[in-house]
Amino acid sequence: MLFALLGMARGPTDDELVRRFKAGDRSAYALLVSRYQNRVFTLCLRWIGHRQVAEETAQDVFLALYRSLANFRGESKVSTWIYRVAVNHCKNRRLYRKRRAHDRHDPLEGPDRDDAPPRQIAGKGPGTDVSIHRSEAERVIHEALDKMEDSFSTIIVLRDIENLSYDEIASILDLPKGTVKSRLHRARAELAKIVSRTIGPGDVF
Amino acid sequence: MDAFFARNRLSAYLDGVLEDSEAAEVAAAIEADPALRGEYEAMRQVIDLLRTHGPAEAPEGFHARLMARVDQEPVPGGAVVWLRQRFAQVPVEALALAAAALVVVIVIQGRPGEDPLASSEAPSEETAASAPELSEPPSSKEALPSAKVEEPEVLAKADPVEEMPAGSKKLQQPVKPDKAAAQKVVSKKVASKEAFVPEWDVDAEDPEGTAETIVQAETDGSNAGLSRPQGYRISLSHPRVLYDLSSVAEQAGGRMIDASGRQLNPRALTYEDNYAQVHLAVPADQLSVVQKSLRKLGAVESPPPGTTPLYGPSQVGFVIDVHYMP
Repeated sequence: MLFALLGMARGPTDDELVRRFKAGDRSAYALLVSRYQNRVFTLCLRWIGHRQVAEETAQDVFLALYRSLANFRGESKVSTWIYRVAVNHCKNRRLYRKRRAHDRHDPLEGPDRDDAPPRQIAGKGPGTDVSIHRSEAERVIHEALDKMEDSFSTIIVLRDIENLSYDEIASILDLPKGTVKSRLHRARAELAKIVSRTIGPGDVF
Repeated sequence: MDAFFARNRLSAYLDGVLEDSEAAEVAAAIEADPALRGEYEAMRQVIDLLRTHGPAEAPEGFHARLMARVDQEPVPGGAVVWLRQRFAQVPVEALALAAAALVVVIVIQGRPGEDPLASSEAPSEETAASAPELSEPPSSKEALPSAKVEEPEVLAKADPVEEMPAGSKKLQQPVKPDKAAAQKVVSKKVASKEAFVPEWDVDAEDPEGTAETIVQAETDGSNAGLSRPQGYRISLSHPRVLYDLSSVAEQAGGRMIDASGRQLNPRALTYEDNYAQVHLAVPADQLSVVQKSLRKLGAVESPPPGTTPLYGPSQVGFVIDVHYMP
């Protein structure tokens, strides 16, 4: 009885929402979006770094989910599936932006139009572009993650920002749990070095 | 535990996933080694930084913007998923039964002379190879042969009927030709010129007895109380129009018949100088649907005919004057 009451308080499970959506209830999808929109947006933002692009990517993720939700067979957890789709989208977008920046010699956060004024790049001093990074800490996080290779930054975001377990990360990235553990250790060690170089050892936001 | 092993376990130690004994050894190593302690502190701080400042909230209006995009999306999965979902709830036995029934229907409807539009819409390879396309009308009225009973493919071959052997003056159907039935029609015409013989009806045997049924309805007065027939007039520039008329009737659940109540076989329709009339007998509730379809075909309303046409119970009739347009 107590468990039933707790379940009612939490609302329908992800699996229940998927079942309802398959039965034609679009509100179940809306609820699923509400439940995951912050997490997916965070993943996109921290990995891509640009708020507007992150929102576009997150929207693309949810649209892709909408289109394929009817075919979801339930072989993994709904959350794992959502993260997997999000990781793939972010990886593609990140790769695209890096290639584009490299080809055009544009800054990653630069304007899309050639005749537009150059966009202000976030810095530590006055004039920090708050539309890109709302705090100095966010800027440091983004710059540090951006300097890391994708396999490291992905695992850092999933573990230390999304707070997922080793098992969940292993399932999302399709890696053995031991690999997740060792890769996370190396990623954290590297990130610590990058951050130390950026803000100085011992500085805390 | 030395510093090397402890260093490789710092991350797991910070996550609290080490066994108790191993965690104690790492803690001791950190305590004993200042360099290791520095690395531990740096890693702990960066994790704190990420956990504190990492999570973000989706921008305001994110949900609404997304749902607006979703509203533009088609039904997820499309018809295939829809059908799969529905059929998944149907027992296999029921599906097998439905499939068997479908096969029976296809077999029955596939008999010669009973498939009104299949040959014109999608001719089989055999007929496509042997019969000219119906969409290639003669360039002028003079190109038409004088014989009234003629098939479009015969016309396209420009073989005058007069040049044919007497025994071959019969109808050729594009699909599954029923030469015996066609021969009967020709014989019937020759035998009695006064009797009305539908010019483009080769289904003289009327295997389903539809003609008898309708004629009987007239004679015993069972068609009393039917809707007043709708009058229409249509110009015939190509037999395809009659195919289309037949299609309109069939799609409305009715049939196209001639003045004597005989169902017309659209595959046997051909050019004619002046068709008198065709009738569409359709269920009464299809009145507006048929009216709309007729208008799309270019049929125009004309005064209702004076005579009472022949329709079945609960049917409404469309009397269509068909005029050849050279």
